[in-house]
Amino acid sequence: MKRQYLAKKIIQSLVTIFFVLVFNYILFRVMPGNPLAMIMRNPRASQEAIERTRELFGLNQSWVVQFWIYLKHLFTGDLGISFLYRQPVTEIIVARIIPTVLMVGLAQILAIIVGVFLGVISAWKRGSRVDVAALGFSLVTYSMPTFWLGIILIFVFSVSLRWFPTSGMLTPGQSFSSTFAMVRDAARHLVLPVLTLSLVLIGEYTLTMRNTLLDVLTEDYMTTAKAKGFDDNYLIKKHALPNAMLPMITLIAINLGLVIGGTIQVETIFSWPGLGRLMFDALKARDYPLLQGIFLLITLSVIVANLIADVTYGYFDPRVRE
Amino acid sequence: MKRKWKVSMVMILVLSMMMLSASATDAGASPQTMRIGVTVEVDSLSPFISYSQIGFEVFQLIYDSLVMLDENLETVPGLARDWEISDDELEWTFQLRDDVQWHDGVPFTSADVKFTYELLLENELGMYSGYLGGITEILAPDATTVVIRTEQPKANMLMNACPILPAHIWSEVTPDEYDTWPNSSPVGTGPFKFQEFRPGEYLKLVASDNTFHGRPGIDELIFVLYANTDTMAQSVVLGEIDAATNFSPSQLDTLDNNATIDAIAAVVMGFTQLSFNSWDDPSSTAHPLLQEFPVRHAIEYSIDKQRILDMVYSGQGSVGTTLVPPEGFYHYEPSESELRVYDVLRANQVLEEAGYMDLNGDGIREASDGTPLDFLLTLRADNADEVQAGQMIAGMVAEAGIKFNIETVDDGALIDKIYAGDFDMFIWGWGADLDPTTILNVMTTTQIGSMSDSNYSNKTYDRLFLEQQTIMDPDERREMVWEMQRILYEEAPYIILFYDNSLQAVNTSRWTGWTRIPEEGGYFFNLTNYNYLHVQPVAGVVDAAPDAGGGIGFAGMIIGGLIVAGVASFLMFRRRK
Amino acid sequence: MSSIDGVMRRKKLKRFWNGFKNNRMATTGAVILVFFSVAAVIGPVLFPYNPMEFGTVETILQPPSTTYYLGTDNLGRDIFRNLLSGARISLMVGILATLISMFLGTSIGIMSGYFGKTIDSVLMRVTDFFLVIPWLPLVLVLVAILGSSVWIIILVIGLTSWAGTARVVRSQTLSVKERPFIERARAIGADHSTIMMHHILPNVFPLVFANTILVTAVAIISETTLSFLGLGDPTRPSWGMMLHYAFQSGAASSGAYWFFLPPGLCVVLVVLGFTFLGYAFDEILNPKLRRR
Repeated sequence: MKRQYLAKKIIQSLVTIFFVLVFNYILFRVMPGNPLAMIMRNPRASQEAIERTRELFGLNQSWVVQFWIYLKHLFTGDLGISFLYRQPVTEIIVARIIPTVLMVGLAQILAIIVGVFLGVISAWKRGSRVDVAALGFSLVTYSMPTFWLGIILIFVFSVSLRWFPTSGMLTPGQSFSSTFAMVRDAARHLVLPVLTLSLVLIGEYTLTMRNTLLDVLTEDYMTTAKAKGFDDNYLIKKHALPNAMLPMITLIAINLGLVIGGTIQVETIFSWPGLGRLMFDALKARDYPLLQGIFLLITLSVIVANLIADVTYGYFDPRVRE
Repeated sequence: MKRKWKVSMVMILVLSMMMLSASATDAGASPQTMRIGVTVEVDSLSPFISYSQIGFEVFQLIYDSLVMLDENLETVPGLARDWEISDDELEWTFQLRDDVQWHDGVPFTSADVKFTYELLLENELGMYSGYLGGITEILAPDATTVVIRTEQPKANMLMNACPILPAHIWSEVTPDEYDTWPNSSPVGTGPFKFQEFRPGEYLKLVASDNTFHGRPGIDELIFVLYANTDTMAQSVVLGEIDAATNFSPSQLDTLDNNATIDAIAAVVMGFTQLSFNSWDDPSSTAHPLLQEFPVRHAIEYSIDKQRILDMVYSGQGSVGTTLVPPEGFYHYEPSESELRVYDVLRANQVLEEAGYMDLNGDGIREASDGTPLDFLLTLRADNADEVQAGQMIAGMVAEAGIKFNIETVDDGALIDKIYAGDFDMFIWGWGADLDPTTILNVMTTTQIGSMSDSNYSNKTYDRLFLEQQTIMDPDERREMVWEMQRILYEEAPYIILFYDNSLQAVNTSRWTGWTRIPEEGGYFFNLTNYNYLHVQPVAGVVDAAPDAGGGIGFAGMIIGGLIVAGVASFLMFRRRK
Repeated sequence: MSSIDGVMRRKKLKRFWNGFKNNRMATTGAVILVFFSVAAVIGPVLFPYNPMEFGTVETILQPPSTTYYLGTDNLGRDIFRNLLSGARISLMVGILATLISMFLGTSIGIMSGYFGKTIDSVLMRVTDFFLVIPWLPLVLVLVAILGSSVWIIILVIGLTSWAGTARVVRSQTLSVKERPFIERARAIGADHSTIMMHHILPNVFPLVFANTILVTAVAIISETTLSFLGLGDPTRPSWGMMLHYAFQSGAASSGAYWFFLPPGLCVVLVVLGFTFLGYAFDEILNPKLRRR
């Protein structure tokens, strides 16, 4: 039974991946906008250079031929060459993955911890001031446009209080005396972007946690256990939390795609050298191969995360398996 | 169990506070580092691939050219210490310096020059190949002599900013790799050595000891990339960076309020224009009424350029007229009778004389066949200044009975429209060179389909363009260039709206000896590497972050607001009794 | 039969109203939204605003005063008036995009759940696709392709944000489908569309409602984000465009808080209003979340 469920999920994911591949390709080929824009905006560029570049990227060939080449290369793991940077897309993306994963990862972890914490207390103390405060806080931050929140945080913490640097990932060009010094420098730069992104994310986690927990807490076995005189803390830890974590896992997986949207803004505000900004720059420059590569990477990771979530779900929740 | 958890929490908190509050700078025998904030990063480190302004700026630090420009924008010796031209003006002989070495220690010789020029001429790649137009042969009779032959006299020979590349490195690259070879660790002869490029973050150069320029006062030069100008402005104020360029106009005043920051609006060789689609083929999608000079003239008469400059650009920049910006020797200023200054009455008068009347009383004039003066103005969505300028223009031309509908697209989509000739008019700008050939070229017929953004074509103009390149006498050449600009001004495929300013700021408490080039120009991005070579660190100052003015009030207000909001929501949600 | 249905429905409605009345989140959300709706409807009539009318050099970036209640922007335009007109646009974007999304999500969800089998798997793969593709980047790309007009922004947001609703509706449909009255309806010969429209839709609708109110919040934030990234509609003075111009002209660093803070606060409040309402509905309609 379980193997069948897993197989089904994997096949479904593969179908989705194929959709994404085709869609990705078509989407970026119908886009208006010329990848030679950058070159043509420089009055010093020669006509021959423009013609030569067009040939280099196969832009003089038909769509069908270009799609075939794209697929062929894809199967060998070759994502092509960036129009703008003239380097293999894979190389460019790899260089930008770490900053994004670092920031997004920390922000997610922080948001999940705080969200679960707030969700638990507000579910447990339902209707109390604590509940109201926790809910109010997480919903207000959830409602803020990410970029707006980021700018405000910069002006409060960097400009006025001078606690943290305004932008970047490391003090540019600094040579560090030790790894510790570098980590410290990176940590200082990380605080505001991570704070911004996680503040925006907390709301959803808090609410999901609170609602699923309330769901669980009203189950018969919980009421019985409570009647038997078990300690509140014990009940939450041993029974309610594990059950309530399931929907959280799905949410975290689905959120991965949404978070990327948030990173475009955070990376723009804080000049963070990550994938979100790279994607936005690539969009503006009509750098199709790079855009396709980034889209593919993001969607693949969301699909894999969802698959993992599904499998975990199936593993923990016997109802799903049948 | 519970206590342990609490203790470890406290530990983590204390540790992280310690980590974060400690100063970021590692003291020691720190080199003199200059950080310059920029908003665009180099697209490639290969001079064959890069087309960006920042690329141009960086290459003139890493590499040298035969000749270079000094602080007065006069040609001075670069890798060539002397040169002469033959009597028939067709052969140039350059005497090279004999004591120059590449950053890797290999001596520089005439073979490098020959190699670089031939490579560029054969492959026509990148932003530099245009400088070499007209060269037919390059000879290297001995290690310190280069002879360049041209078909016709080449007027801009000494404006040639083409970097000389090391033959011993580039000869390893095969011709079909030129388009993609990243040159990820450039080796040059210039005053700075390449050290590190972290895409999305910064590019780092270090002073070279081994250069004919003499060692610069800057030990480490770092171009820091900012994704937005607002934090860049704050970084200058906070002392995180020492200089920056490309601010928005209203930030200039804020920056200038700081005693230690010198914020300038530098004139640059560039302009912002309103381009009309001049495609005169009747089968094209170009609007026929926009082909009429009176309509173009009336539009120019009805635009109050100064007001737009004052409002949208905080007064930074100057009202534009002709194609070649006024800083150079070749700028043509229209005579009193030619000049079209803001005058709505005149605009209406011009249209009336040309037979455009508002017959149906809708406020828009029509041609005799009933076609209204109703056009589509395309603007670049992500350029807020241009969009706002466009909106003001639409309001202004309405006074003359002309209707502009506004559409915004992004850069890429606009280029598509231009390529397809599918537009009425749009706003954007060009950056020019000191030598007028670069910008004049944009309006030639041969550029239609590549560089031309107006599809403009005029035979006289084309002929003059080819001819002016061969005139060695500057005054004689200027006459021709003036005539070309006169033609353009009369036929008005462009309305030059403004000559742009580049807004730059430098921290004078950290670095001293800044020179504006030319007199009203910028500290950097001014076609020279003069300031990078000549500024000196202020003695004794290591970290001189000046105080931010007025920021506390802002933070206080936000914190206050948050408290009020918190209290209010708390009261509101208080548990019901 | 229909009268019994009617009574049931009225009873349900009454229960809902009681729940709504007693839910602080719901009432707060409603108050905020009523406030902004009124402002959006009446505001521009009382304080008309023409974005094409610019001030003079003297009226640029004026701090709040009795002439300009909230000061002026970088082109000398009244920010208070702009905010009122902006309310119209932001609410319009939110509501219209939600309607599109609601229509798509509900019909796809019901069809998928009701027909099952092949239709279900095809529709669910499409839904999956829209769930996994990074949403904001997709919207960015589509708006860049189609052009920055407010109608296109509405369309794009609507067309890409229905997947969550479809999933919820599908699972609800699956459970409704098994109930006896569907069986009865089928027995008396009702066709598929009748069953879906008259029997399933009313039963899934409350859930759809709670879910799509949240879509409205997302749509408004998205319009703001698009505008901030320079893909907004410059001919419509939305709050997002105000923030864009404020940011581009360096309002924050030049201390013009009146230009930068109010549009953002308005976005926060309206989004908060919709979010409150959405979660409160969820709470009222989902009996398990009710007070123990």
